[in-house]
Amino acid sequence: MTMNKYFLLTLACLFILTSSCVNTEVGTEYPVSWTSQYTMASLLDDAIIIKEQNDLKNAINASWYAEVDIITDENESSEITPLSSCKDYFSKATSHTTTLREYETGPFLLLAKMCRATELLLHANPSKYSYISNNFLNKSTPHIFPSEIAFQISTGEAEKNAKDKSKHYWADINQNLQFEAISETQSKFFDDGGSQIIDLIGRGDFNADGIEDILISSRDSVEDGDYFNLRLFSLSVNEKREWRLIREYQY
Amino acid sequence: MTTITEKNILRKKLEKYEGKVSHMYRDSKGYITVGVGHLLKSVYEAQILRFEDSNNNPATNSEIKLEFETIQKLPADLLASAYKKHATLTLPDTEIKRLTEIHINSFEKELEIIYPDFRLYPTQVRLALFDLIFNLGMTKLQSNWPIFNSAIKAKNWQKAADNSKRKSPVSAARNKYVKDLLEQVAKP
Repeated sequence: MTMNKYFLLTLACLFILTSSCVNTEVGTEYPVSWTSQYTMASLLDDAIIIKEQNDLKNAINASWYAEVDIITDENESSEITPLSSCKDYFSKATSHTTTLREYETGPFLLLAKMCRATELLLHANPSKYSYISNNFLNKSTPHIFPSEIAFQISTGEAEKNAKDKSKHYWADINQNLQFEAISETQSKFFDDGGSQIIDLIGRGDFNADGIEDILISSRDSVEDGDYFNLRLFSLSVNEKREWRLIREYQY
Repeated sequence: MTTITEKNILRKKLEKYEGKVSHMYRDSKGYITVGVGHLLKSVYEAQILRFEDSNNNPATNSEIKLEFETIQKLPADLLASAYKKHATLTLPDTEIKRLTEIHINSFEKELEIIYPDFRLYPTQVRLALFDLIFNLGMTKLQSNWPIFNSAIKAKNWQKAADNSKRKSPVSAARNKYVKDLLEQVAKP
């Protein structure tokens, strides 16, 4: 590549992405990585050090800081199953699993989210290309992230929005969101009565297409109510800076 | 006015959803909490409660401050039992009950603001609305549930029942409880 071509490439990158440049050089690889929002180690009974991708395996087998009793359906006759590790969780929990004690839902969701994140990071591939800008969590994020990130509690209202073809983006559903940067990997989006804290948990290629993706979670909560949810998503962004949902993970 | 029977039902429901924890812990949002989901926004808010030490003697302000700061340093959103080993002070049952009564009365006032005819609604509808406001808070219930709120104000209980479902992780049992209450009135 000549100097002129380098110059033009740099200009193009600046124009498209403004804050970061895409490295598409052959041979460059973006490793799987995680941030301080990946807190699995702090939820384990044993002191486990997670430095390399391979270390994540140890977190799957390690004991949680406490057991959580779950039921697989909500009939009174349902058998109570204690879970004490991610390995337990993967083998015994189903899509109908709830905690035996309703008030333990939040702590259980945190454990389940971290287990799922551990599994995803463990099996993610390094990426050949990346179109992720450095400061993608900012006040404009709701206008570029897909509508699935929106915080909705009413099933009826969510179904109505899902049928509305004009609602492409998060901000099309949650309008007038205010923004507060908590750290480089954590931002708060809020309106009157509710908030979403978006955590960047990790980066890697989660769908084996060679392009770097992100793993984020949304902590959804309301003011003066007990509703709380933790959702986990993988998202990808292309060279046109278009974000799309790869998958929302159910615990 | 909420009857004693209704208040007993509501208190048990709140204990089921929030737990009843006599020591300080950090909730899912990271706030210091005690009793039945009673939020302590500051050390002062903890100090005005009747905390007791392990000998059932009233805790001093400095003991309460120390406990608050100790719990604050622990990670948020753990099981309440994980905070117990770090806690030395407890709130007596009578105090927890008093705080829960205050919450119920406060929610009732908010429901009367959202639904001016709230006092005239059948018991089942009132209990259903209490469950929703416990869960969603006043602002979200008022602003994000237009179909449901229109149905309630039109006293179309069946339509309200059909639009009362909350998304996961609200349990199917909790959604069914609200739907059944509204349907009991819709189909007497």
